[in-house]
Amino acid sequence: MASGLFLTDAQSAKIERHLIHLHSRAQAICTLLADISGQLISAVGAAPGTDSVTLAALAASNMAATAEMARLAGEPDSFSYLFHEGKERNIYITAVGDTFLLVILFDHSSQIGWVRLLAKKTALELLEVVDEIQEAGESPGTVVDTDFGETLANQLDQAFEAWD
Amino acid sequence: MFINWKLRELNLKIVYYGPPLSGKTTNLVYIHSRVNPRLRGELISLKTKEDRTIYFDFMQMEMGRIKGFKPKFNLYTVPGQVIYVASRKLVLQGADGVIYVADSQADKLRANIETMRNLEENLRELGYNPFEIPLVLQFNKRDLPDAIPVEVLRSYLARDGCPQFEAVAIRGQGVIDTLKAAINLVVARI
Ligand SMILES: Nc1nc2c(ncn2[C@@H]2O[C@H](COP(=O)(O)OP(=O)(O)OP(=O)(O)O)[C@@H](O)[C@H]2O)c(=O)[nH]1
Ligand SMILES: [Mg+2]
Repeated sequence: MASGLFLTDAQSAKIERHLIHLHSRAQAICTLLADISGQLISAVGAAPGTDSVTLAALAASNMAATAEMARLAGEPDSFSYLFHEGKERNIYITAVGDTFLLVILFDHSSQIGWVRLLAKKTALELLEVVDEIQEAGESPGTVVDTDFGETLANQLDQAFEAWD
Repeated sequence: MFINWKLRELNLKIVYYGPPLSGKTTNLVYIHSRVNPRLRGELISLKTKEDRTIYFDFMQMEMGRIKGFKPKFNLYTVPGQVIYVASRKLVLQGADGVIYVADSQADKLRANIETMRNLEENLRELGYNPFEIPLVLQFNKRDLPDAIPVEVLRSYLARDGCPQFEAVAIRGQGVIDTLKAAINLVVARI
């Protein structure tokens, strides 16, 4: 069974610290860590809330599609990063190990060479943190009990009742 | 499943799977239109000009905190078309539960069966036991005159104890019930 990802307080804080550091040095608009299934792990900067959630899902699929292309192209090592350059905004995506990716959204006030350098460095630092995550973590079994399930079912009913 | 103990968030991923044109996207579009807008994000659709899913549809839905924990559900659909079969497996990664949307039309029986096999195969390749992952079955397009009896569909597609719903997704019939069952099943499994 594919298992879950359990992030402790300390791991969260470490990841955030790395992201904030990168974010401010790169003068980015949004900086985030996601896993390859598209799950947002942590985000810094604008595009808060849902937007970073969506960006994470799209970045992961973009990376996955690129990996498939690498395979078809006969590239043995997959492509390790992606760069999309726009008129106003750029997106840089780089792999963090096999299971995570780092996404940086920035504009032309930042130099791509500088962003790439910082991304590379941060990816290595993050790798140390995420390596720990994969191993273990506190499961939510203690929180998610029958009570939890019942309250959730009630909330779900409400979420679809007339709200307007 | 992704738990962030610092933010006290519980993230779960549910994937709509099924044969071409069975109504997977229609399910998600209806959910998006019916759920309280304060509780959901944007609906993202990666599709062709003809509205066929090329990669996936995606939306996130969240509930209020329960015992301090905020549950968030990431809902995805896969493309049914065989040429996009590679993307199905990619979308399935990390799934906590699957909603299988079957097409009730008589001439789709074969596609229903084949896609179910493909689901099992993909799950196995991703390291799941395909018979253990929470699964909900939806028999869609019950409004069509050539819809075959549910018993027939069930005999080919159902596994023991899996919740099943008849649906007419274009009218929203059965859509919310299917989703609720999937969410409750996934959460009960934790
Ligand atoms: N009659 C009828 N048509 C339906 C129903 N649900 C969906 N449809 C129609 O079936 C067609 C395909 O629906 P989609 O939701 O795009 O199907 P899909 O499974 O996402 O298709 P792919 O992404 O290409 O695999 C559309 O024309 C829908 O309007 C239903 O319950 N009854
Ligand atoms: Mg679709």
